[in-house]
Amino acid sequence: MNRPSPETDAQAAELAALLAQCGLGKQDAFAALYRATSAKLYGLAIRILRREDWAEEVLQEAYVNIWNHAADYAAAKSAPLTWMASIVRNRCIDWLRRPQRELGGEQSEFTIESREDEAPGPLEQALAAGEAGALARCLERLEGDQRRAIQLAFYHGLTHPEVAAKMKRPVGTVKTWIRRGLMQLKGCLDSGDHQ
Amino acid sequence: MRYRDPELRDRLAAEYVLGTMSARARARFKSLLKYDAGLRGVVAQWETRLSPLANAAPAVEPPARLWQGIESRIRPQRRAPGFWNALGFWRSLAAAGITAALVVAIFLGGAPATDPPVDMVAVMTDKQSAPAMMVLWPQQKTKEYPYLRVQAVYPPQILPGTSLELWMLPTGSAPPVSLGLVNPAEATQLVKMKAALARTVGEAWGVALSMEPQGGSPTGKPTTGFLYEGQCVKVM
Repeated sequence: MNRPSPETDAQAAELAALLAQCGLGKQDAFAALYRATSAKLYGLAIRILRREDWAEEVLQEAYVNIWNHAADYAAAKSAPLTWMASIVRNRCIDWLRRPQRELGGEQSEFTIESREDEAPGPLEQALAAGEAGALARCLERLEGDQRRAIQLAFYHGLTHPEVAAKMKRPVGTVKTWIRRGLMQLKGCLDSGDHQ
Repeated sequence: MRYRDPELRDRLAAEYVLGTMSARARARFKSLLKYDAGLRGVVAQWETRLSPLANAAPAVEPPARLWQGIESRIRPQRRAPGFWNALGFWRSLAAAGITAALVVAIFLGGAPATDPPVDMVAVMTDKQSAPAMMVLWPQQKTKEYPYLRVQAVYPPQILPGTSLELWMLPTGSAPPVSLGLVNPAEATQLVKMKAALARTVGEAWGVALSMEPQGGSPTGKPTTGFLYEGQCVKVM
């Protein structure tokens, strides 16, 4: 099965049109945009933050941000859902990096929830369903540790040292895995070598 | 220059998008992004490459209150943008401080009911006593998401690697209490408050803004002198 990414061209065109309307201050368009995207983006925020209250807070900030910057979307070089998901992810990561957290007060959750990683992750599931397409096939070609490090970082919003702690490997090793893994992914995706 | 190296740019963009940078490195990278459209393009490419990962996260229907919270925050901005953004209006309030606050308070007191009712207002002035930034307290009691509205009259100059932090100045000799960070890039913004803080903020004598290390003061106290300062006025 070789389906295109979940954001089809028609959906993308519709979301882009809604964003353009939002840029003009049309609140109805914003409500429609929210209805069309909030479950997807809330799911993403929960996946990264692992706390519903945090995800709500971050998503609220993110949508207000999307509203305020909808007019800038025209200049963006990515699909609407990619643009919006990036705003959400960036807010999630900023949230995880906020100073009181980096001081270590909330570290314990990582260990509490680490078992969850043993279950098949969303990417494995999407891969099984054939949804993640080229990226999934390129990820498949990475070494297991490289792939796991990249997925941990992406879905948990972890820094290099945090990924290293989770994988019980030296930071330098993990950094190299991630750097090489990303560059291999890029080579694989950009060359179209994944068919 | 180091940041011109295409390989380094690509690697940094990839790690920024993946999300592995520390708070400090992220802040540094974001300040580069602000002035480098090419780098923004490299970031967009990585966002597109990795977007299937984001799409693969299972969808979860958010609670209805989330939309209500968002809606309540975008509505006030939409109304009468001319009023909020008219620089001339603010400049004309050059007779600064308490007078300006009173004028604004009276003005807002008569505003149409669609705007959330305002409890308190403070106009912060710069060192030359010109109005620089205004802080409004919407009525907090019934609010699920207590927040302050911060309106910049003119955007403060900010150095890379620093953040602007808003402080409540309590009456008496108690030390300033942080209200959160202010984004220098946004003319109008809402600063979310912790519920406990929202209950005490009504007792504030004034508010002030300071420049702090990226991410806010590490000590919980202002580390430099105040850029702006203003006294609070009750509207009610």
